[in-house]
Amino acid sequence: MTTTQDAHAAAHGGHDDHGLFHVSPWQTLVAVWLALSILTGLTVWASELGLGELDLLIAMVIAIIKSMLVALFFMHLIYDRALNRLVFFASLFFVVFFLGITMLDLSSYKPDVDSYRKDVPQYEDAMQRRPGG
Amino acid sequence: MTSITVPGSTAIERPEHGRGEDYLNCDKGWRSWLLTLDHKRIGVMYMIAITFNFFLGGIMALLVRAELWTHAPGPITTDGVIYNNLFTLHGAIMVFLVIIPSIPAVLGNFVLPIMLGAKDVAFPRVNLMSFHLYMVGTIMLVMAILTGGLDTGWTFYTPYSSVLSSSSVVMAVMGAFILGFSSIFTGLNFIVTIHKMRPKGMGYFRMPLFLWSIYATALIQILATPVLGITLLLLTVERALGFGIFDPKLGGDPVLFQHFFWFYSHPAVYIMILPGMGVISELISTFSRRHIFGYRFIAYSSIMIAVFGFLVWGHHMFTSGQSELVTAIFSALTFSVSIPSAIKVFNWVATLYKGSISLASPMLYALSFLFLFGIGGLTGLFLGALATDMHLHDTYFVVAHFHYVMMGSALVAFIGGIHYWWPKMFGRMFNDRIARLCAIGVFVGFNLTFFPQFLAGTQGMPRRYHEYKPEFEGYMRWSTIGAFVLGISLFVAFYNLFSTLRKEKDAPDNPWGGATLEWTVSSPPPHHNFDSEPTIYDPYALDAVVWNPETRSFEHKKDAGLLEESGEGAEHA
Amino acid sequence: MTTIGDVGQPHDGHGGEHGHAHDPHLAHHFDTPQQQYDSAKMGMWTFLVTEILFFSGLFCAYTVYRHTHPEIFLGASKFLDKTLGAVNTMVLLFSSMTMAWAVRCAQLEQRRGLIINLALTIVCAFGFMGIKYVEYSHKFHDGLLPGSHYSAALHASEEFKAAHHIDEHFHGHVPAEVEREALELEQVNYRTFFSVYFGMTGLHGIHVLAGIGVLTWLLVRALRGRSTGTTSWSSTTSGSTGTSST
Repeated sequence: MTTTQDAHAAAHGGHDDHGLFHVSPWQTLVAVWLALSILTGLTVWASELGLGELDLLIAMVIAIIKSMLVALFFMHLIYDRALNRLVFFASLFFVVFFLGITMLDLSSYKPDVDSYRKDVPQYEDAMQRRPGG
Repeated sequence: MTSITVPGSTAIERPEHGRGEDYLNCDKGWRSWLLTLDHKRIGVMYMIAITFNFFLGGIMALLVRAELWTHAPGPITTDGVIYNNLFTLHGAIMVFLVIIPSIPAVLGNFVLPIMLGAKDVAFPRVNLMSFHLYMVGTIMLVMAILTGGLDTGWTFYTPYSSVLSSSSVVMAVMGAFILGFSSIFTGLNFIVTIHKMRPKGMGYFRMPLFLWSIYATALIQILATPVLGITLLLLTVERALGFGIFDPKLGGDPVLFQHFFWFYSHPAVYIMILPGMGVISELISTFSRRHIFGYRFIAYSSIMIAVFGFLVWGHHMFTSGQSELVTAIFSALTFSVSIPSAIKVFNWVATLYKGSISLASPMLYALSFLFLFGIGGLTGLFLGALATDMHLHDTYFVVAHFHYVMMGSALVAFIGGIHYWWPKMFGRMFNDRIARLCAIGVFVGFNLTFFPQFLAGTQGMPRRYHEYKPEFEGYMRWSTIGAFVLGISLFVAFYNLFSTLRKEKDAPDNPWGGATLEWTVSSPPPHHNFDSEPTIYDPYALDAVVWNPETRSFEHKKDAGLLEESGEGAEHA
Repeated sequence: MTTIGDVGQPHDGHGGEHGHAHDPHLAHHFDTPQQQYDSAKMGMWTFLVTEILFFSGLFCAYTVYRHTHPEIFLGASKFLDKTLGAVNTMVLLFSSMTMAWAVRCAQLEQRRGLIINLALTIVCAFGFMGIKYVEYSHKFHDGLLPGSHYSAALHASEEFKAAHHIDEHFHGHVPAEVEREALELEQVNYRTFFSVYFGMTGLHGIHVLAGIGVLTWLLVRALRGRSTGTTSWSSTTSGSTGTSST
């Protein structure tokens, strides 16, 4: 059980600060969990207010904060090597690019798609042309 | 850690690595192959499977070309559906089963850990799982052929694939889905291996350029391939369960499918070409007996290509209904990819300059690559320009362009690489005279096949039809003749290689005079790659590698080609 | 089970010619436990990157349709049960914590704590799937189904009519035929909404099931009293569960 002893040594600072791994204190875990729960409550509460477009923004901001808390503390990213942080955050850049350009395109040609739905006479016409309609 | 029995565990008491023991003969029986954790054996198994699939896809191609001998339907089939099946299966097999895994899975698996100075990849079990997934994916694609064929084109565009086609799309798509995960896990393994498995002294900028290109490829594999996974999964639920994300009748958007598909499949083009560029960097340097010119430029340009490759997917969609704004953005970005590609070509040419060039078969393939990639790359610019693309879209010009890049560049580099590392992989020399003749045959046959297609394409001949206007018959006949020259040359080339397996091992450790680490170990390499801690040389100090007539092999001169300790990036990660 | 954290066979001790005295958990191709641990960890993060990109396709579909059809999303989301959704989110958050705690116990070799936390996490995962089942069966019952299966009979929503100026055009007296056609067109987009909804929650559900499998495997190992020195990577399983719950 060499590993066992190593783990203990690492956990109790037997080695230097950068031992085999970092052990999170249970207080941190509970605190993060409480924060996550409160933020969830906040999302629900905000959605009741009926703020319209702002609603989405609030929900997204809270969701980002929550996922950061999970990644940084529950998944130890804050104590981890810089390379692993880079790996994680770099992937988000590609997601944003993927979403951004696709959304830019679909919203740019949406007027063409929607032009026949704008008012009802054209819209009725469109209903007849709709495949399977 | 696991319930799988390690195949080697029964043979644990095997003798110490003595003379004559290597990864090929250290263990026997089919289980020792199919359940091996040795990256070299996994690479060899990939090579056999990929060679088989390559000829399967090649036969489809020859059937397509034979059908196009006359402008009227016939002589192979008068049925457009069968023709659609032939070109779809040719495309799907060549892309998903051959080109994408070819260099990373075969040559990458075999030489990457040795070049790096490591005993294996970081996750040998995951590596084996990748191979098993590859086999499952292959079987599913072949099943799709047998149970209804596939006629959607390899791009699986909706709504044809989701609603209209009556071929076995779901089976084929799930096959491609599984192959995607095979590719993802290979890439993941290589990334971690390169970051974490470098021995002391092997800095990032001391790695052979092949590793840089495999690394750049792996980045694309892990970032783009998952998007293919979700795209194919959505296509499957759309077809099988009636989801409506891409079906306009159900409120979906078919252009969205094209965005999803090309977000993967354009970077996938670089999954195909980048490893080829890495092979060429090795070949050009070794056979010119010169230090590679512009090492850092080639290294960085690999990463640049990988990143830029993500920014240009929309250039496949210029005529799809994509908005003008996004089309213009993608056209502009597309031109940017030519910069790192050109950096590489100029550096290779500069390496050749005043080199002492030997025209062994791998070098002939490398020189073919320079020529064919030049044509393939430059014709890409025609297609990236909006106005010309409107004319050339979906014509034979496109077909010729991507064959110059995917076949003429990526596969030619793969075949060159196979020839280069063959003596290392199996310890046997092949007949280089025949190999050189085949290389010339491939070059001539290839150009004969695809150059006329550029001409037909500029005159407006559309792709993917089994009958066409009579005025194109001349081009098509040259093309068909070329295809058979190409097919025969490739067949002889592979026969020439595989037939060496019958004879005794006769290859020296370093037959070509390469300076990278794999040439310092025996041919074939020992089971654990290095019998002692490897000495890290400058991978391109070819002056330091000299011919030793006694061993009939190249060897490092004593204390020559070692790296000074000043180099940056040498720290162990 | 083959996993990323599983970095190859433990060294068997017979191949001593490769040098240094190994501990039994060090695979033959690594030099140090630290190298092995770092590799496993980086492998897991890289795998998570592929998961993020995998889900990004669905996020993309969601964002795009939400952006191009905001009124549909406002209308259709009324059919989602906010209470059950919130409860399920809390279940996931709790299980994320128990999983992180299980990792802590594994690191400290606290076997009892490890078993309790793993068991709690698995219970939460089943709880999540149970609540999801309730949600799904409501939607199945109401015909709120993806794509071609959508069969809910509804009136065109006020939001939809407002967005398309239907009331305006007919001065409040919308003919039945137009009402029906408006409903049909609206439902075309409702179909998309529920395609995206079932796509996202379904894929997430598959991940939860996979997580149950992995955690059960770990629990069995812990119960058998085997060393759990390298299990900290498994935190990522719960982590991904947590992040995608939002």
